[in-house]
Order: sequence, then C-alpha cells, then structure tokens
Amino acid sequence: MRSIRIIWRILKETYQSIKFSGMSNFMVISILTVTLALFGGVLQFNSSIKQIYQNLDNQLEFSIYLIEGAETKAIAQKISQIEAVKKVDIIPKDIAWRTFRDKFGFSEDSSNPLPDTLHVNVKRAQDLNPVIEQIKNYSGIEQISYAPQLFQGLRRVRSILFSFGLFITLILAISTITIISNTIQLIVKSRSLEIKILRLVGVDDWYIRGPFITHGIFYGLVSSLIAIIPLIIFQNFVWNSFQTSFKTIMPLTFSFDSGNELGLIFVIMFLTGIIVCGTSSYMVTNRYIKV
Amino acid sequence: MIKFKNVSKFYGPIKALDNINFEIEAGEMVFIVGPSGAGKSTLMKLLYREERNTHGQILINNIDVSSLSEDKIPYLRRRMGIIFQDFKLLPNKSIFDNIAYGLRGLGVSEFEIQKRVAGALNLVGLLERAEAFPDELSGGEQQRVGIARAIVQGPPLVIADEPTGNLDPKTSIEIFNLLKSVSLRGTTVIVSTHNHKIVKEFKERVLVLEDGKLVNDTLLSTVSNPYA
Repeated sequence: MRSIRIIWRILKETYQSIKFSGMSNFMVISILTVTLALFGGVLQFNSSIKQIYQNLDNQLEFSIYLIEGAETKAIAQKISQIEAVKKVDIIPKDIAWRTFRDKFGFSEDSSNPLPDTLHVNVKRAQDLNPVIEQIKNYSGIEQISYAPQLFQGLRRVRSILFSFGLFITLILAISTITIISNTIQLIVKSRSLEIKILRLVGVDDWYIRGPFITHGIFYGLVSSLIAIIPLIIFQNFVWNSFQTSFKTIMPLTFSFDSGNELGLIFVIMFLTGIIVCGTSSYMVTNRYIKV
Repeated sequence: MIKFKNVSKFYGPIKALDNINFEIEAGEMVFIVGPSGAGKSTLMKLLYREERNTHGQILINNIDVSSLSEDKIPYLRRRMGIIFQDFKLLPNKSIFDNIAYGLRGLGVSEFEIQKRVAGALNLVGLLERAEAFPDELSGGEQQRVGIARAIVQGPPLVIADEPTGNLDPKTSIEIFNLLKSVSLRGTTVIVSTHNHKIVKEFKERVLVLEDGKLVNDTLLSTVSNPYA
C-alpha cells in the first residue's frame, strides 16, 4: 500500500514538474520528435531497400552467349558445379531464334544468327561478380551479359543514405540529449529547496529522483508516439505510390513491402526514446542531487 | 544518545572543528554557542550527515554516523527533525502542505498526515493558519512552522541551526520556549545560536565553540564563561 502511495505521488510530482516546465516541454518534444522520426525513417528506408535487395537476389540472373560449336552441355555442367551458382538453364540456339523470330516477326527463311545461350542464376547478389569473373575465362564463351550497375548502384545508395541518415540522427540525438539534460537540470535547480527538504526529512533517494526520471521518460514516450505518425503517412502514401510507379517501369516483380518490419521499427523508436530520455534524466539527477 | 569522540573537520587546509569531545543524553536540551565562524553550523551538519567529519567518531544511539553508507542516511534523518535559520518553507505551498510534504515522500497515508500535521500545528499554536501561505506569516510564525515540520514525525532528536538568527529578541525567546517545550516531551534538542544573552535565561547546558574548539561545556566546568 505504501509503495502504491509513493508511486502515485511520484506521478503527481512528475505532473507538477511537466506543468512547471511550460514551453520547454514543447521545445524538447519537437526536437526529440524530429530526431526519432529521422531515426525511424532511416530504419524504414534500410528495411525497404533490404526488401528490394532480397527480391533482386531471387532474380540474379545473367546470360552467357557461347561461340559457334562450343560444348554447350559441358560448359553448363562446369558452371553448375560452382558453389555460388544456383541454377543453369540451357537455351539452345534454335529455341532462342524461334522466340526471337516470333517476337520481332522475322521470316522462317532467315538464317539463325544467335548462339547457344546459358541463363545462370547465382545464390546471392554478392556472388554475381566473382562468378562472372571466374566464368569469363572459360573457353567457348563469347560474351557475358548482365546488369551489374543496378546491383552495385543500389548497394552504394543504400550504404550512403544509411550512413548519412545515421550520422544526422546521431548529431540530432546528441543535441536532444543536451537539451533534455539542460531542461531537467533547470527543473532540478528550480526545485532545489523541495529536494533539500525531502533529503533532510529522510525521504528515499529514488522518490526524490523519480519525478525527474519519469519526466524524461514522458518526453521519450510522447515524442516517439508523435514521430510514428509521419512514418505511417510515408509508408501508406508516399512509399506505396512510389512502389506502384516503379513496378510499371521495372520488368522484375519487386515487392517493396516493409510493413512487416514497421511494427518492429516502431518498437525500436519507442524504446530508444524512452531509454535515451530516461537515462539522460537519471544522469542529471545523479550529478545534481546529492544524498 | 549522542557522542562526539575526537571529532575534527577540515575544509582543505582550514580546520573548522578541532578534536571535539562531548556526550548528550536523551531528552537533554543543549545550546551550542559561539561567534560566527566558530564551527557551530559545521557541527550541526555533521550530526545529520550533510557533512562528513575528517577524523573521529560521531555516535547517535551507538550508530557511527560518520561511517554510515549513503543509502542508510535517509534512515538516520527520519529519526531527527531539522530546523533552519532561513526556515526553508516552500512559498507555493500552504502551511499544511509544507509540513505534509516530507510525510508524503515517506509514503504516509493522507489520514495519518492529517492527524500528525494537525497535532504539530496545534503544538506550535498555528492550527488556525493551516491554509495560509508562508508569505502571509510573520518571521516568528514561519519559524514555528519550521518547528512543526521538524517534530511532525515525532523524532527523538531535534537539531535547530541558528533558529532565531533572523528574528527579533522577543520572538527569539518565544521560539526557544517552544523548543524547550519540545524537549520537555522527551525529545533531545540541540540548538546552535550566537544569541548568548537569551541562552543565559534558559539555564540549560551550553557548549561553547571558538575557532573550531570546544572551549567550555557547562555540564563539566564550573568556570564562568561569556555565554553561560
């Protein structure tokens, strides 16, 4: 019963502390919301790019055009023995020519200029270049066709944006922690008389520090809840319309859905906000409230 | 109840208290007198562990206060009431809430708080002013609130650090009389003051400090001194 009374009184003191802070609350929550939204955005972006990447991984295919008279089956078998190779399909020149002819309306009399072709699938995106490097020196190969720029470009964009986003988040996080610490410090100083009275009456240390720590946690809680809103809007409107547009210009059937990770991102943002704010407040009380 | 054994306190190279020895029995009322800078406030602060002695031992009910770990300090302070020269009242809280504030922090129920605060206010004669705010009271009345706050938990020891420092002589006598009545209820009361003229009138034990040294204890000495 006593513990419940004390917890209830800590919450009342927290309310007083929040009320006392006035406009400082607005400032702290605004900056913290931007920081958390950016942090969540970086996580969301990374998750989406990872999703695209995984989809591309499933379709990592390149074509090998063989020279006339090459041992098609032997080459195909040799390639399929490479560890990173998932599948090798042989497209004989006759079938390839028939498909091409039907598609572009050439007459049956035309001579077949196409060679035998192998379609090779690798297991992962990072296997693509090493496998191509290994195969290109095999005898009987005329040309290898693939689109490394897409994968490499995507990887580079992901890496740059992720690092940049985290860097900005880190800068903002440091600013936010500083502002939270200063705000809590101001409250601690302005309530120094109350703190002193409580200390000298023999009130437990955690009761004295409690309202300041819960005040910090309040900032984290409110800011993370607000920060989630722009992410939901981005996910449901901006990202989905981008996905639709992108699908129409890409021959591959991508899935951009990062929705399954959105819940996890929210939980991470929520916990990050609460832990960072609570810890900052705790450190301030540790520094400025002595027994 | 209280024992000071060879207690010294240094602030860097400055010696605030020098090898202090005395004992105070339960229920005694003791004045600690001396000029400004004699070490009175330092001695009081050592009792409630606001400061820590550099050498020696301070025993309260056989517990060595100087070696008490920080997490045990609140338990020590719950067994004492402290009164300050500047009253230390919260200006935005009523008299009732000022006294109840610490009790709420200790988790005492509202019913019990009502009962105890009313009792303490009654003892200091301010029950009628429970809803007033500190700035509506005179200096003497504010100090009486300070006394009510100190005794509301019924502590066995009350420490008053220059309680009349901001008050006129007539009000000071009222405050000392009030502290005397607290003492008569069985509470040990230690009062520091530089107001030796008033102290003389009370015929209580006096410890005299000068330059951090205990120069006289009226319990042990028959030598006349300027204070007792």
